[in-house]
Amino acid sequence: MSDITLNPETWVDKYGNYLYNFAMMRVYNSDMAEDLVQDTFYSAFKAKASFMGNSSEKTWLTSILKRKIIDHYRKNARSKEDNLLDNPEHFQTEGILKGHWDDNSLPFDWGVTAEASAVENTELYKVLKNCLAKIPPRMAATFTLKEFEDYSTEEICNELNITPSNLWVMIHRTKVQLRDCIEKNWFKPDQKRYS
Amino acid sequence: MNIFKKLWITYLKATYRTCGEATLLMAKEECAKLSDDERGRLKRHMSRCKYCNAYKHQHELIAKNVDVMKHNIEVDKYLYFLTPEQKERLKNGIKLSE
Repeated sequence: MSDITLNPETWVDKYGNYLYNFAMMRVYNSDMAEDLVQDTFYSAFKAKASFMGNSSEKTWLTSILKRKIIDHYRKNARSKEDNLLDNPEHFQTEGILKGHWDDNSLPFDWGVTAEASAVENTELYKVLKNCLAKIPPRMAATFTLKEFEDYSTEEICNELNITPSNLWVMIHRTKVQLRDCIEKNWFKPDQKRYS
Repeated sequence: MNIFKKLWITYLKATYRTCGEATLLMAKEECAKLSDDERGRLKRHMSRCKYCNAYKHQHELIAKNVDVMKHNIEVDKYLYFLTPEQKERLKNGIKLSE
């Protein structure tokens, strides 16, 4: 056994906000995030005898939460809540311009550099946070595992039980939807600047 | 849509595939190795299409902001905070586990 003593009565005050943020940035829903944190504390409490002390209390709780989040993704991946094959409607569907950007979705120059935008209090940061919450759950799962957890293609496909081809399509549609949401919420029509 | 834009996109479509295909190849490129043919098609499209280049740049900005979000959580700069009611519910949950 380890020298680290677990103190369940302090978990909420010490790690509550950390775990809640960790969950929120992965499921984008406050009720769900709270439930996942609650499940994490419950599972950790039940498994406290098996805590080996190889990691800190915080790391141990985080690893349990990560597992809970993956289970949540798997559950959603089996549901038909959002249709993978829905047309994102950002590209023209007929005529000589079929397959090209729709007039209402043409990407434009946002006029900021990556460095300048990556400041926590910029509008982009705030809008991105809100737009992530609007992505359908199955698509959000692929985006989050890839961008937040740095999972490989193989790991994501195994966790969500999808094929690599499905993964590319889901990531593609997530990205198209995300940028469209940001443009619609970040810019006014007269601010559009085409590069 | 003006005539120049129509001609431009018709030219793109005939020679360099569509924007939908190009953006899909960009997503595929992040997950797997593109074939020589796919890489060539994407490269040709990107050399001509300002909209897909803007799209690519937008995602570089998004990726940078995602990195900031990840970093902020690790250094305890939170976006969200548990309300007193949520904390109370979580504490009660732990007590009930005992």
